[in-house]
Formats: sequence, structure tokens, C-alpha cells
Amino acid sequence: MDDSQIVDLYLSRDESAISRTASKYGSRLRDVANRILNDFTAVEECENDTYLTAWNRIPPSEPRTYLFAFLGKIIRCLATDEVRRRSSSRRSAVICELTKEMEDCIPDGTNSVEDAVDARELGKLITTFLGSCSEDQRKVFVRRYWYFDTIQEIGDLYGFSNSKVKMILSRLRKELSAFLMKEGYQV
Amino acid sequence: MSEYKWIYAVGEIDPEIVEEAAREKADPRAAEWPEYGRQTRKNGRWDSVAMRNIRRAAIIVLAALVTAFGLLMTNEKVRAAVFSIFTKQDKHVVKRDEYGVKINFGDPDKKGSSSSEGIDVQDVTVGYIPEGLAVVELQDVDSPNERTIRLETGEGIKDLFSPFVQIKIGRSDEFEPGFGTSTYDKLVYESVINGMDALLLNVVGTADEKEVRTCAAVFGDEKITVMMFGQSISMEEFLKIAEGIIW
Repeated sequence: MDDSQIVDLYLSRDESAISRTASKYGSRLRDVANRILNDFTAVEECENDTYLTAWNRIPPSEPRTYLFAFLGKIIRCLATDEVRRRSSSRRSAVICELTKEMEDCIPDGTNSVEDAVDARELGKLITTFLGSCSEDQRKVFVRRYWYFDTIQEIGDLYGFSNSKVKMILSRLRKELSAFLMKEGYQV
Repeated sequence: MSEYKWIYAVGEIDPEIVEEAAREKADPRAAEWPEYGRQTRKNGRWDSVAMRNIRRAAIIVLAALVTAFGLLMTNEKVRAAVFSIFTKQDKHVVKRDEYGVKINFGDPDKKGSSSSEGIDVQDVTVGYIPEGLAVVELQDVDSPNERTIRLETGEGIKDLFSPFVQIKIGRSDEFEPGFGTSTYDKLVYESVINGMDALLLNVVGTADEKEVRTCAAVFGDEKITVMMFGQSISMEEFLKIAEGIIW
């Protein structure tokens, strides 16, 4: 069943939409959440909450061509909210590593409500920035910071050496930082 | 929001860019065979005869290991080794070699110390059986404190593509360390099944242009240890079966 048919099930309020979604994307969603949480029980809760959120958001949303990205965005947020609730000692090593990498581009803010809006604006800027990058660069960036892949996994996936992946990411972070500053964002 | 702001920000990027980078839209073979993906893609030799042979050899090695695992399950020392996974001081050891990694569970000098006296393996139930599979009980008369249950289609296990799940249930205090298996370490991960620590394995490869799936799980508590092997079955179904095993 393709994504559009699954979305049709949501739109017609057919509960089998959830089982179809779980069957098609469950393992990939759990993988993303597990990268953040490293806790299978919490991942399952996030997965279930993701389906509930999707059920509530479709309609009005109709993610016919990007259902996985739509669900992935939800589960990333839920998993990140969960990891923030935990003590620092229980945070995923991957997230700590990636946060350190990204702190030169996007430092943590001041715990204000405006940050939520800020993140959306930042997302748009990052989208614009990625649009100016090559396809390879874009994919490497997204695999690293959206899917939370390791350097080795990205190298394996695209046939790059680890050093090449690191180099691509390093350059992208510098270029992103410069781009954000140019757009008036305080890095 | 402020904490991990970058995660939220990256989460807002255009979904089309996210979909573009989805594994399925890259080379799926590279994802399924990470150990070989980098070299072979770089040299443009994915479809060479040599690489096909290496892939087939890897599948054969994997199949042999699955079979060896089943045979090892009959050994008391093997079962004891599995129990050592659940004693927190015994972590599994991963050693990489040319074809993958070897995982040794537990410390060979240590043995399980808990007691499960009075626990009857016959009290363990398999609550979930996928559609199309039926239960075949394989009783080991030499070991009354263990059971082997196989879920299969009824047509037997003809090749790598025949779906089946074999479940070995034993009393935890009879397990001794010393068990080893080989696979790709990145596909072995720690998890929780019914509140119990578990190790899971999920391998997806190809043979004769068809997908080959192998799952394994080891979990239990101080009373019962369960070892499962699945072939040509999805991980979701495999985990449902695991979660349906109760005592």
C-alpha cells in the first residue's frame, strides 16, 4: 500500500491506517527514536504517540508524498522531549556527540517560548541552505542530523570513506554557520 | 525548547529533502551490506562476479551459524552462557573479523548463580502465533527442564526462504557461559522484552536476488531464559511472538 492510500485511510478515519502505517514505517520510526533515546520501552511509547498524533493531524495535513518524513518529524520531537525530561546521565551518547558538533552552528537558546518559533524559522533557513548544496552534501547532512546515522553508516550507505564524510560535514557546518550569520541569525 | 534546539530546527527542514535521503532511495544493497558497501561502491564493482560470490558466501556462513546455534542450544553449557547475559557484570564481547564479528556472551569463568527451583518450563506459554504458522513441539527427553517449540508453515524448512521461528525455553539456573555466534555487530542491539533485558539480532541480506531475513533474540529473568531464532519473518512479527511468551 502506497503512502497516498494510507493517507486516504486516515482521511476516511479508518483505524486500519495506524496498523498500515506501523507495518510500513514502524521499524524505521523506532530506529530514529532509538537513536535519540536508546531505550526500547520509551521508543515504543513514542511510536504509539506518533501514530496518535498523526491520527489527530491528518486531516488537515495530507502528507501523501512525504508520509515518512511527516511521521519522522513527530517521533523526533516526541523522543527529544522525552530525552530532555531525563537526567543528563541517561542521554544518548549519539545525541551528545551531535549536539557538540552542531553547537557552533545552532547553540542552545534561552529556554523561551520564542525558541519554538525560532526553530521553525531556523528549519526554513536550513532548508534554503541545503537547497544550495549538492545532492550528496544534502543527503550526508540529513542522514547525520535528521536520521542520526553514524559516520560509518553514512560512509557505508553512500560509498564514501569516513574521512570524506567527516570533511563534508565539517564544511557544511562552517558554511551553514556563515549562512545563518549572513541571514541575521546570531550564532 | 532551548535544549537540543538544533534537533527541533533540523526536524523542520523540508520533508522532500528528508525523503530524498531515505535509505530506500539510496542504494538499498549498500544499506543491507554495510561491511562491503563502501569498498564495492567506490570501485564500481557491485555487480561483479567476485562480489556476488562474497555475498553468497556471507549468506552461507550466516545460515551455517544459524544451524550451529540451533545445535549449540542442546548443550547445557550453551544455555548457561546465555544466562550470563543477565548477570550485569558479564557483558558480551565483540570481536571483529573479516566477515563480521564474534560475540561471546559472558565470562567463561563464571556461572549463573540464581535458583529457579520449582519452575516448570511446561508452564511457559507462547501466546502469539503469526498467521500461516503452526506450533510444532520438539521435546528433548534428555533435558526435562527445557523445551523447544518451532513455529513453521507445515511444509518443512526447505531453504533460506522457508519461514520459521524456533524457540528454546530453559531454566535459567542451568545455563553456563561459553556461547558464541557471529554476525554484524551493528545489527545486534540491546533491548527490553516484557520488561526483561534482551539482545536482538536483525540481519537482512540477499541470496539469488531475493531478500533473506534472520532474527534472533535472547531474553529472560532469573527463572526462565528464552532463545529465539527466526528466518524469513519480519522483526515486527518476531517481536510480537517474543512478547507473547509468558511465564
